[in-house]
Amino acid sequence: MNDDVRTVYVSTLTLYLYENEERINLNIEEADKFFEGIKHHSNTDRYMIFLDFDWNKVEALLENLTPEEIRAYRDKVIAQLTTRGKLVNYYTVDLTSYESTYSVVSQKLSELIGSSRNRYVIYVNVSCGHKPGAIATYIATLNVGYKKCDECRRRKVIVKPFHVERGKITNLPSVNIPGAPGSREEDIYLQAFRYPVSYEESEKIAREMGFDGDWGALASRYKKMGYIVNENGKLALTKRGKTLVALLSSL
Amino acid sequence: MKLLSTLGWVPEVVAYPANILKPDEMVVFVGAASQRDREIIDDSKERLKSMVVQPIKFVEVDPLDMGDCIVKMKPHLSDDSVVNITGGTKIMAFTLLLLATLRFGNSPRSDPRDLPVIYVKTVGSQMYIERLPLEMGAPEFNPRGNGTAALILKVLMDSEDGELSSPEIRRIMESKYNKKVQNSTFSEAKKKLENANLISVRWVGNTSFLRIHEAAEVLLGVGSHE
Repeated sequence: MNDDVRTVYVSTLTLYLYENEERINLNIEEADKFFEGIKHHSNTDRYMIFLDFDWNKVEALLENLTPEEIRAYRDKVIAQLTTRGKLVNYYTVDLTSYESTYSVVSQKLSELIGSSRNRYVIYVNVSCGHKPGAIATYIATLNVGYKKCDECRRRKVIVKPFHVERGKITNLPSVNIPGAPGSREEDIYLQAFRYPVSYEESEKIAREMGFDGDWGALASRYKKMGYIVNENGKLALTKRGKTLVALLSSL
Repeated sequence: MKLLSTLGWVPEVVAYPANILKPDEMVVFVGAASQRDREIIDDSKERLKSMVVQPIKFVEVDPLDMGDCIVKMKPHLSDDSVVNITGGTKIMAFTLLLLATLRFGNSPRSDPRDLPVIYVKTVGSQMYIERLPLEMGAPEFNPRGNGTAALILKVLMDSEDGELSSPEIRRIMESKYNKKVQNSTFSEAKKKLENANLISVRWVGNTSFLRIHEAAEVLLGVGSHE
């Protein structure tokens, strides 16, 4: 690999602290997955760890756990990270929140690669932490990476997301997903089409619901997404649109 | 509405949205990674049955094998699906998520994905359903056409163990798909697939060998509703 290529290792990480018998297995599995992931990328230039606890207090937190959990975490997580010293950055996030994790991962990655002239390969381990955080980390890394590629007009960042568990590595797709996280908040106005309506009627309903943007653009988007269709001169929900409306009405 | 869920040790995170959303149909993907896991999973299935009124179709998957999950999950996705990825392993959740949301090409309307994905968050003893704000369209990448990249994937997918040399792939492309490509076109497509993390490339002397990744199957067809 060329000298100007920098490698970054990104991983989520949690420590289960609740009182439950399953917790022991979860912590041991977490330590195993973290170790399996990082050992494949032992010479990375930088490590970015997104965790849902304070890393400075990890030893104090471990005191509440069983000896086997402590051993697993010390040997497979703490030892791996401390040997890498200043190459590691720790960021505390709420890994149960997709939006919060997405925001922090995007921000920290953008700070790292945003103004850099280097090329980057980013390895993303999605095996650890809670699912919303792992998914958000995956998508945020793709977005930041491809945005940088778009800006540079040539490929400056390669993202390699993977999952590892019990010796099995699963590579995940790395594709450009412009616009994520999705503008899903506006999906709520799809309810304007609960019954077949004219365009004008739908706009009136949406305005009453509080929509104050470009209704034509949003209606076009709904159409493009396959949520509504023209039916006998009216706009009506498709099966997919009906399903989404039913879901949104229940949340 | 058809509610598709991944189930692990905690049936409550599958039952809760089922009781709120009252789907017409429930499909639950479930699988054990070990013998000990099997006992807990079987118990979880039984408990789930007692928590919901709908009949449940259980689909057994290998919880750590994305290839197996793709094959077993794909046929159940349809336009009236809502996907709950709270339970089960991350591989199960990521597979269902990618199958349900990742769109390719420029025409979302013709692509039946973009299905809503929900996650059940537990705070104390209270549960909440959250819709993950995902919009996973990859407009620049369309591996389902007849372009060189798409054909490379198809040829690898049909091969015995998912790995072939570049010359062999080109030979099959020509004989089976009547597609003859220049070296530069093939190399460009190969690079595109490698960058998209859909294949790995290894070299033996001057010959490259391409191995398809399991997740690539997510891109090839989207099941019964396609």
